[in-house]
Amino acid sequence: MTAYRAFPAADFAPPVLVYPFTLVYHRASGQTHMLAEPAPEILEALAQGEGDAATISSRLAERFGLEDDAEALIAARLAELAGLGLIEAL
Amino acid sequence: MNHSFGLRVGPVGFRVGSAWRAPIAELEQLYRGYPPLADGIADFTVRLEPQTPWRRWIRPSVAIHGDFTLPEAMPLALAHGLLAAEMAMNLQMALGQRRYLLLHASAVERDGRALIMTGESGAGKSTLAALLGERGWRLMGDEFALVDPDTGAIHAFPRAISLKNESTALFPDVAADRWGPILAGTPKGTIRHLRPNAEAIAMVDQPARPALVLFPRFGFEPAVRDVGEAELFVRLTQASTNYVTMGEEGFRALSTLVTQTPTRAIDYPDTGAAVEMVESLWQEFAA
Repeated sequence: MTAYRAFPAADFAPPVLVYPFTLVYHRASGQTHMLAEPAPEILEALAQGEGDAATISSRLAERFGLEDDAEALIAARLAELAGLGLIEAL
Repeated sequence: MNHSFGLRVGPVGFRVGSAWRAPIAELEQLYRGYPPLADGIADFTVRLEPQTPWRRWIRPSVAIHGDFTLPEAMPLALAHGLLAAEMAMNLQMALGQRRYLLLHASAVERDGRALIMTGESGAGKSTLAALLGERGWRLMGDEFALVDPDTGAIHAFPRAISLKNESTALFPDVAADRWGPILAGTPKGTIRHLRPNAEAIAMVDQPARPALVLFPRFGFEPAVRDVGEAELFVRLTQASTNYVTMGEEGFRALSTLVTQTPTRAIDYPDTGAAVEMVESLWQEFAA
């Protein structure tokens, strides 16, 4: 399973909630990303330390009730976030 | 340049140079009472020049030049030199402004608080702002609202208002000397410029806190619709000509505006109804 790592918090402006999305401004690219849940929650969980979809799922499960297929969904979101350059695939 | 004119519109200084006298004379008349350039320094330079040298004399046609140009900026007939100057000034702002987040919006002020109106071309935001400017509000601008990234305040940019000829009837009490010449057959149809009133010019350096954003839409039965923060953010990035080039300052300015300012979309059948709706929403959200 692919592991991912968060970029330093300083790479981003403080996120802004514009319900129901979270705005994430990436300083290096100058791009504004509009993230729907659970992407912002995944970024927060990954900020605690690198990990794969299983690790992130268990971190999220401490805060949220997760469905049975949550891990597959989180794996897909992690791949998308890496594709956007918001996290790094290891 | 044979002829030139400098003026300051709010925080922005323009110098307009022209190969002909006529557009400069019209600008001087239209912007009478505006402050001169601070220390003679302009932020933007606009040049109205013949398309080709001999066209200054034979069927003169005005090409727009300046610090920033667009390849498709079309030449206009000399009779429309004033319009060319106005379009050129807009172009310089849209492409070159870096100090303020620029929203393609009109703005009016009351009690130090700003009402911002934005939306598609033809939605009536310009006419509505001009009308409110004659009915107890201070006109801050009909084309651009300038958001200060440091303070979040709106700065005024009250340029002459470009009105379609049929809209001029909405302003029966306006003094004759505030009107520019009738410009017929322009790419925007027959238009006429209106100089903002003395209050708008005198208070030009006073910014205002954003208090309400409206998306007016002309030609529909009266209706008011909620606009969520996310929709507002997306629509304002589309309405901004320099959001991307402003970088993080732009992000901060816009996200603050979006999360702190109530917003509604309004449909209106005529300007009378629109003014009533604006007053009522202002009472509800901003008064």
